[in-house]
Amino acid sequence: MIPRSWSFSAKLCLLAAFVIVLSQATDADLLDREVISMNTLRATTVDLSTLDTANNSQKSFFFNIQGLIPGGFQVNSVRIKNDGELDMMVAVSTQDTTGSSALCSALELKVLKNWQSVYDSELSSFSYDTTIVAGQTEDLVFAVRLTSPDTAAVATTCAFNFIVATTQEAGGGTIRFKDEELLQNQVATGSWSN
Amino acid sequence: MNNQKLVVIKSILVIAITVSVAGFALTQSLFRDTEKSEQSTFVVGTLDMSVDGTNGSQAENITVTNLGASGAQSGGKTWQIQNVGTLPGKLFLHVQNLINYENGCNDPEQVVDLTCDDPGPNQGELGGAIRASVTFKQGGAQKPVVSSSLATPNAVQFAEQWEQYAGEVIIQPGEIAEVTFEWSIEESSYQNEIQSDSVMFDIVFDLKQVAL
Repeated sequence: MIPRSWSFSAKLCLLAAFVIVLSQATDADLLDREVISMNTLRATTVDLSTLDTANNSQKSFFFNIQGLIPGGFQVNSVRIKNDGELDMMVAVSTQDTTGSSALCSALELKVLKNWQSVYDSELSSFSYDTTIVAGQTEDLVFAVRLTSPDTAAVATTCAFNFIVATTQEAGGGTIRFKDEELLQNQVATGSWSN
Repeated sequence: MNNQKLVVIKSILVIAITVSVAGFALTQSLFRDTEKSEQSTFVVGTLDMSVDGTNGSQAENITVTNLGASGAQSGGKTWQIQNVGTLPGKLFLHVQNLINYENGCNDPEQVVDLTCDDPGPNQGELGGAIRASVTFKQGGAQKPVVSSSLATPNAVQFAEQWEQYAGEVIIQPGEIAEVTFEWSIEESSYQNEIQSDSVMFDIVFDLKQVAL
């Protein structure tokens, strides 16, 4: 009835009207943008390591003394390294002592720093605090000895750990990062009589 | 039959055109007045903003590298946003490129963290422990607008909360507004898992033209 060309024209008009209506909603506004870029928040690090003083290899086993008798002693050394980014207070102490109480309480310990004694008393009560600057090391020499001739310690063993740990209380606040290293030790006595 | 219809349509068209022409001619006003505006000019307005530090100093980004050195820490930056164009604009803020890097794990972190790639984008846990807030000041008191952590999925929170709580932030030409971005980390919100982690992000200010 209506010529085909008219129908096409009507569709074209509808399309044009739609485009015109749409174009009024997409007006080009001006925009300016400024960027504060590369904002960075980074956490620091706390990390200790215990090293062999001869070759800087990792060290976790320390004294292993067999057949200790009164008057006997053994010497060992450790290098404590602050691998973190903060200067840290480090506490070194004896913990987790197990075995013969007679032997454990009879053992004595001497600790040297720069060949100066920093501790010389019962092994079970050992505690030593020091500050190690970030990236630096501290060398300690340990000597474990038995002086008591008490036969209650004959043919017994004593196992204990030296704990090297960061101190978290500092500057009125608590440092939440922490690290600790274990140096495992075992002492076995021989036989003697009074 | 078809010819008859065509004749009818043509007739309707002829009548419509005739009525239109006649109507147009007959409804023309005979009075006429003309005024001429001399030297009219069209000037294009400008939309431009500057972002500076407080007291006009150069804008600085946020750079902190010792989180965890003490229990609780906080800080922030304030930027002055000035409309230096000639058109008013609406201010928007959003955060983009928010990435939490793992940066590997040292021994204590390895014990508690299973994702230890270096740099390990979006493996880091630091952003989740940081609380960030944005306040806005335009003339009156500072208005809290955004409060969110800096965990990567929360980047969208900044734009959404700005839209929701800042309201219509229109900065007129010459006017200055202040935006403050503050961060804080609580002692109880982290342990070794965030060691060496970092979070990086861009803060984006958009000034969009508003209708006069």
